[in-house]
Order: sequence, then structure tokens, then C-alpha cells
Amino acid sequence: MNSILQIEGLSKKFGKIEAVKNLNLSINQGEVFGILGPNGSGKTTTLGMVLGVVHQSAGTYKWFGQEPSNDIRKKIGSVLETPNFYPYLSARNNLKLAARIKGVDFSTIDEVLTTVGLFERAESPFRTFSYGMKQRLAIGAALLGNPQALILDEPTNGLDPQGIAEIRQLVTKIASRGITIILASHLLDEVQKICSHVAIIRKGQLLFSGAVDSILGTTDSLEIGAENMVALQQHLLNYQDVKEVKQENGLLIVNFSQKPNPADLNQWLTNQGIYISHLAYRQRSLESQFLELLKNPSKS
Amino acid sequence: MIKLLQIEYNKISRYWIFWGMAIILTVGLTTLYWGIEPFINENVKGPSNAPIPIPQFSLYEFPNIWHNLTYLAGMRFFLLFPALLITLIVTNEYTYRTLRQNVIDGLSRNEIVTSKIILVFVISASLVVLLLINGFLLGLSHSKDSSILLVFEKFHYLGAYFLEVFAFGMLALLIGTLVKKALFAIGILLTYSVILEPIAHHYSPEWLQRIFPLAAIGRLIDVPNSGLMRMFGVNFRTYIDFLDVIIVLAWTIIFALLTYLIIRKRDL
Repeated sequence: MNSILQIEGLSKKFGKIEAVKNLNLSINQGEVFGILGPNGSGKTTTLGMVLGVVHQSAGTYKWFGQEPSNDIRKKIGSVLETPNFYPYLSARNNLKLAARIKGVDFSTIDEVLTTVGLFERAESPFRTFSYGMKQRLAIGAALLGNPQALILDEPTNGLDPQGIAEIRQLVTKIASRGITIILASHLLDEVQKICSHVAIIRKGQLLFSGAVDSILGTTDSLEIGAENMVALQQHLLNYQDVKEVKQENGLLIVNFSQKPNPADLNQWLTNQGIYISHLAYRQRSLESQFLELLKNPSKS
Repeated sequence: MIKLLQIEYNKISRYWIFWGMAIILTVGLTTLYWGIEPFINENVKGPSNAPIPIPQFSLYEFPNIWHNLTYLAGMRFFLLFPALLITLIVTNEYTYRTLRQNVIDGLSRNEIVTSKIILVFVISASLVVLLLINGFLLGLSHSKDSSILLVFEKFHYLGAYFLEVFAFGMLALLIGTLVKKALFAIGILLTYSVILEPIAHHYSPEWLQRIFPLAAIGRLIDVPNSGLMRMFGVNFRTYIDFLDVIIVLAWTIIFALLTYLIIRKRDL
């Protein structure tokens, strides 16, 4: 797999405050990589460093396996914190300016405006835009010239529910084109919905980094419900590989020693004369994992 | 270079404050150039009914017109306009956080400063061109002798005028970069140029007086030694002192280097 971004020992001190501490991260091609952490955990500072606007106190980073340079930044589309544009320039002129800096042909501007749904407003000055439109224009500017990687910092911050839904759809659409996306967010739910990989950061320190599935995923547990819960529980204890049966919210949570096959279990229970009303894999929520990690950072 | 110029042009092409200021300066300076001679003639005669015998002279005759017009246009009051505009344009980049975005999009920190220096250069050059056009029109219509040699004899005053605007603009660029906030930066520029430096200059020993940046800019083109002045028995410098040119150039380079240094060291 091709490395998109490799961060080694990156640190940033603002006076006495250590905003980022010895951060190591590896982001590969095709990933939708979430950087998750509470507000003030160093997400934006980290992105600022790899984008060349914040000087690191220590450590190195490489884009596409190469040393950082101005030309490399032209291959990355970024929205850092807020959409930054000239308020008196139209959407199109703002994009022209960005295209000029990136050395990208103007011909992609219309396409980008269409992708972010601003084609009709192309000639309106930026200052007349709603926050959601500004945010979309920023994503549009980031998409100019088909970047190999896209950095989105809190892209849904300050948006209304409809705006949030639009941006998430847009991100999913972009990700489906195979563009690597790095998304910083303090919203678990957002990372869980959009990202394939996640790094969890607290107080500038990395707590966890890996595939979202590995932290969330399906577990080796099933939720089962039936009319006769007592009989169900008794029978289940006799089923193969069952480790533990707990009752929770009117359902039985059954832990297996290895991944169970729900179809086999259903068949077996039917043969025992028990007809189940609920059967599902138990999803671990990122939230519980996240809170666990925040409580107990040494676990990672 | 061309790319940076295009980028700066994109930024100001729809910035109405820029064009508003351009119109104010064009109209204001053109009026100044065309109105100064009638104004002086009228006022010298005007106050008393017994007219002072004024020797025949014209501000618009080649080659002295270049000295006369550049002296007028180079007065601190007029230099402040382009300087304030530059301060505003630079601080805007911080207000809109576009400077940061420009770097994120792939401009180097050096290019950020260079593009602004190009802008200061273009603004200075435009003002020289404005003076040049008006100077030719006025000169050709007021001079008895328009031989090539005479027309271009004091052309170097245009160079000095360019240096004045450019140096002042570079100071504005430095202050804008340093302070980041428009109002604050403009306040500092005005306070320094209208109050602080003149007072410090007044209380300084002579050798130090020459070194003050704005004083040096002011010394570049001395008051024109017209017939009127000679009548009052004052004699001003009719040449440009090379030492003043060196001092102003040195300041310009210092302003530029400091601006580069700040942008390179700063977290944007």
C-alpha cells in the first residue's frame, strides 16, 4: 500500500504548553482517515504542521514518501478550520486564484463547482454565502486539480443538520473516487459514519490508531430475544462455544468463544422448540471505546 | 514572477477599495499637477493689491518640471495614500486568513512576500507613469524649447520619486505584516510618520537626522529652486544627493528583509 502521509515524532510547543506530543501516524492510500479528539486536543495544530503553516518543534513528516515542499502541498486539497476566501471575490474568482496558486487549469473549476453544488452561485461574492455554502466552496477549492489527498478539518462544524448531511454525502462521494481523505473531527458519530481508519488523540498524544472496524466492528456477541427468556437462557448455555449469557434491556447478550453463525443457532433453537423474536450481532459503539480509551490511555 | 503578479492581480481586480483609492490618487494628483502653477501665481499676487513683481517663471518648463512635479507628488501627505492602501491589502490577508490558505494551497513563504513586493513595485511604477504622462502634456504645452536633451535632462527625478513611493510602501508592508490588524497597523503608520519620526528627528544630532527613514525619503528631492525661491534668497539643492539614495535604498532592503524574516518565522 502506498504511503500518503507518514508522521514521525511530531511535536509542537506553544510556550510552555505542549499542543502535540511526539505524534506518530501512518496514513495509506485510499483510506478515509479520521483524527478524532476533543476540542483542543491538537488536531488542527497537527494538520497545520503537515500543511506547512505551523512550524513543528520536533519531528518530521513525509507526504507521498517525499520530504515536505511547496510543490507537494499543491497535490493536497485542504480545508483547515474555516473556509478562507476573499469576501469581495465571487466563488469563481476565488477558485481561479486557488487554481493559479496550485498551477491547475481553470477548466476544472466548473466541474468542482458542480460537485459541491454551487454552480448556480458561481458569480456571487463569497461574503453573500451562508456558512454551509462557504464550507462547500472550501471543499470545492480543495478538490481543484484532482488532489491525491484531501484534508478536512471539522468540515461539519457550525452547520445545520441539513448542511451536515450534505457535507457527509459529499465526503463519501469523494472517497468513492479513491481520494485519500484525512478528516479531523471531535464528533465520534461522524468518524464512525465516514471513516475507514481512525487515530484518537487526547492532549496532543496518540491514544489509538487503526482500522475503525478493529475498534468497532462486529464483536463475538449476539443479542437474542424470545418470548420465553428463561427457557432460552437455559438452552443457550448448552449451545457450542457459548462463554457467557447476560441479560440486558430485556434481551440476552451471548458471548461466544469464537465467531458464531447466527443461522445455525437459529436452526438449533427452533429444533429445541424456541422461536426467537430478535437476533443481531452486537455492535460495539465507538463512543464506548472512545470513552474507555480516554479513561485508560495505557490500554492502547 | 509572472505567476505572482497574476495572483496579486486576481486579488485586487475586484477589490473596490483598491480601485477607489486608484481613482482618488489619479484625480487628486492630476489636479495637483495641473492646478499648482495657476494656484501659486494667483496667491502670490492675490493678498495685497500691490502685486509683488514676480520674475517670469513656469513650473512646467522642461527640464525643471520633473523636479517640480516629483517634489509635489513626493510630499509625505501624498506618499501616505499608497502606503495606507498597501497596509490595508496586507492586513486583509490576515483578516481573511487567506495568507494561510495561500501557503496551504502551495505558495512558499518567500513567494508570499515577493508577491506583495511586486504589488508595491507596480503601485509605485503606476504613480511614476501618471506623473510622466501629465509631465509630458504640461511640459510640451508650456515649454518654448522641447529639444530631446532638455526634456530628459532631469529625468532622474522620476527615479527618485519612484524610490520615495517604493520605500514608503515597503515600510507599510513591514508594518502591516508585523501588526496584522488593519486599524492598528494604519494607526502605527500614521503615528510614526506624522508624529514620532518628526519629533525624534527634531531632537536628534545632525548625523542621525540623515538616517531616519522618512526624513531620508523626504531629503531625496529637495524643494525646487525656482526663480521665486531665489527671489527670497533661499537656495535649495538642485541635485539628488547620492548618500540619500543609498540611505533610502538601505532602508528599503531592511524593510524587505524584516518582512521576509517575519513571514518565515511565524506560525501562520
